[in-house]
Amino acid sequence: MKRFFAFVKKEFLHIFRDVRTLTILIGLPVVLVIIFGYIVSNEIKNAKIAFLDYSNDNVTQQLKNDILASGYFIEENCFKLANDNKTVADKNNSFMSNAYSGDIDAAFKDGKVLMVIVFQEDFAEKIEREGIANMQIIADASDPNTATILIGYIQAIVEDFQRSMFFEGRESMEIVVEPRMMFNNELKGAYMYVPGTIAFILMLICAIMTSVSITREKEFGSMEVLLVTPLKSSQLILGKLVPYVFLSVICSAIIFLLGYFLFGVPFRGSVFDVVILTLCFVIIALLLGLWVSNFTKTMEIAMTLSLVVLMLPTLLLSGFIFPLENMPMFLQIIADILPAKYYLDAIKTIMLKGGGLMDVIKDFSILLVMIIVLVFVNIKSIKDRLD
Amino acid sequence: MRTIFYIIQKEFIQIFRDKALLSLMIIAPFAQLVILIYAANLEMGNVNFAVVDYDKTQTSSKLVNLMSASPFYSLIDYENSIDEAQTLLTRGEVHLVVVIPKHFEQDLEESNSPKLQLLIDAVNGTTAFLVNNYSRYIIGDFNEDIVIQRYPEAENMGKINCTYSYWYNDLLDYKIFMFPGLLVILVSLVGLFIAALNFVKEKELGNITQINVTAIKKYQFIAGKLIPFWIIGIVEFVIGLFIGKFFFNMPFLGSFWTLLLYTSIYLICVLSLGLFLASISHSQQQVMFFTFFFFLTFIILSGIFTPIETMPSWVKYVNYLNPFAYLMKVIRMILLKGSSFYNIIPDTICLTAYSIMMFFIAVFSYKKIS
Repeated sequence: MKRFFAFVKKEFLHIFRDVRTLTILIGLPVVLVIIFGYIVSNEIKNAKIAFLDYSNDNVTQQLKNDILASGYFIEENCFKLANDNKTVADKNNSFMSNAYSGDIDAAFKDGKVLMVIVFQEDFAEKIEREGIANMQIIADASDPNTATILIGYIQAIVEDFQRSMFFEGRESMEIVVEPRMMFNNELKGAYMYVPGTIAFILMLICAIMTSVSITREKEFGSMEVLLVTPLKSSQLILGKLVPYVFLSVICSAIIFLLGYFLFGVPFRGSVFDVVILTLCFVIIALLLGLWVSNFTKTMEIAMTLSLVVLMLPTLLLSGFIFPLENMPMFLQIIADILPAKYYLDAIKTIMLKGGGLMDVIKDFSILLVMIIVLVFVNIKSIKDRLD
Repeated sequence: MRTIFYIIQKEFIQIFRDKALLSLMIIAPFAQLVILIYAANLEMGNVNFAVVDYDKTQTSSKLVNLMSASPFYSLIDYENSIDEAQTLLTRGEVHLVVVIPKHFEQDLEESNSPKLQLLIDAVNGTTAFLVNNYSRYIIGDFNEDIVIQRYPEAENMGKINCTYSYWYNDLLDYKIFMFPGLLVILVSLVGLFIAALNFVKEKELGNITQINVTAIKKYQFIAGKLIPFWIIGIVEFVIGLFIGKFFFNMPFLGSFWTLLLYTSIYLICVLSLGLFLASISHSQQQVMFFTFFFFLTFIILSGIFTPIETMPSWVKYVNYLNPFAYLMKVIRMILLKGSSFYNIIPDTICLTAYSIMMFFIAVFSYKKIS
């Protein structure tokens, strides 16, 4: 036991001596949480929009006001309506934008506007007489995320506008919808990103750092020195892992605290449950890192491999950024094999929704099974190495 | 010039000798490209919902039927109380609970401002926003039908017919959007990580001291380190473009040469950054974390996962210092919108200036004394 502690002390010294790496290890989660919290949001403000208003009457004016008053859009004037074009537009009611499609294209290509809204000629009159008027919304969909969000805004505004026309004088017949945004009534993006960042950082510290620290000993030849010491190989491995467990606990605590105090991400469930789950995830990540180090000989390869096989999937296939439900089958299968999905799921339920371990029993047991499997896999491959 | 050439030759021999790293360098990015292109999709999936019906009338069941008939919604269960429904929300089994209060039908008939409550799981704000919008849309239609039944003349009330066109990506195919972004990640990975690791490795193993005592000038050494990875980066980029074009049928509207020119300037910038980070760090572990830090920050700010439009406006200014943002913006403009060289002149000027600056920073930060 004394030998073991001496070894753990050596490992700690290794880590704490490299102040730069340590700074980055602590700094990275801090910066990431701050970036995610302050920069990433679900809302678009002041998107540039241009109107092509062939009618310019009081109804289109009112609609435009509604759109601009929402705060989501600001108007950019990039079209000059020429009188001779009026007739062209009138003839092609279904493709009102045709006469200006060149101009619209140019505006999109320069990145001047994200959306163009076209109102038909005699808009108000058509609503009055024919009961229907046409309006065309053209979005630059080279970024479909932006396009979908912006069109969602417009849809809601036009819908409201129509409804208020429809229910004029019949207000009391309108169903009053009271949406309650459960668990996150301000729709803060940080709610998604704090748990995601934790999973990501834990994977980084545990998996990459462990695999690198072991291959480092191999590459520099100091592994042989360690192997001839009276330390048992299991002690050796454990000694390598302990400092990183310690580091990852500190890092996750920092992230939780930052999320709580800076962005008001709540902690509704029990701390104990979160700690248990986080420890499970840490152990899995450590075992993965160990496993990678078993079949790599240089740090360069260990790093690249853990980056590609462990980091990127944790970022992209965990439901952190992109929802898993819409992914094709084969990606969902990959996501099912990875631990991050279950961890994130469970953490969100407990932290944000105030659930208990019983609510996440499925995720929790899958994580436990993963630990057992990985322990077996590692025992097998470690033996090979010592031969 | 000949000195640089010899260094390049040495680097290539070294790169091709390490078969494991080489294959990782080639296979990994393309595997990523092919797999991850399917990952990005922010569309709303199927929304499971539950109903708490305190009214239990024909009208309320009609509304529920209307909602479950929608292709986006599937009804999971009727619950007896809000508490039970909330448990489902907590466990993530449903995303939406519709609460129909008592006297809903009666209130509708008596024009008594009937109320309806929606409980939306808002942990993911984007989905919550969409679910809210869409539910109100269905409920609004339902409401209008009832009004029209009562007052048939209301049917001819003015309507606005909206047509939506999505230019440059009319089916809102996320693959088309993700592909250029992934290409940027792919070439930047080579640029930042591999080059930086390679440089530091030389330091860590100590053979840089041998180079330090030769007559090789600082700029020659940096250039010699930069050019091989610059070539590899360009080759990977071109192969990536071909894969996109021929396997995924990605649009390629603009000029290939404009894009290639721009990318090669970009690579100089990224590689110089990588070499700069390498020359100020002492071990592979350090440089790995340095580059990783910048990589991640730059990627997020460049707007690949979440649109720049959703970020605060000062991010735009920060992005002048973010090389990834330059390529991310321009590659989409060229590939998807067919923007010409004329459209990207301002970006090209900024990027060129930035690359030259970055190269000199890399040269000056490399010290021949250890």
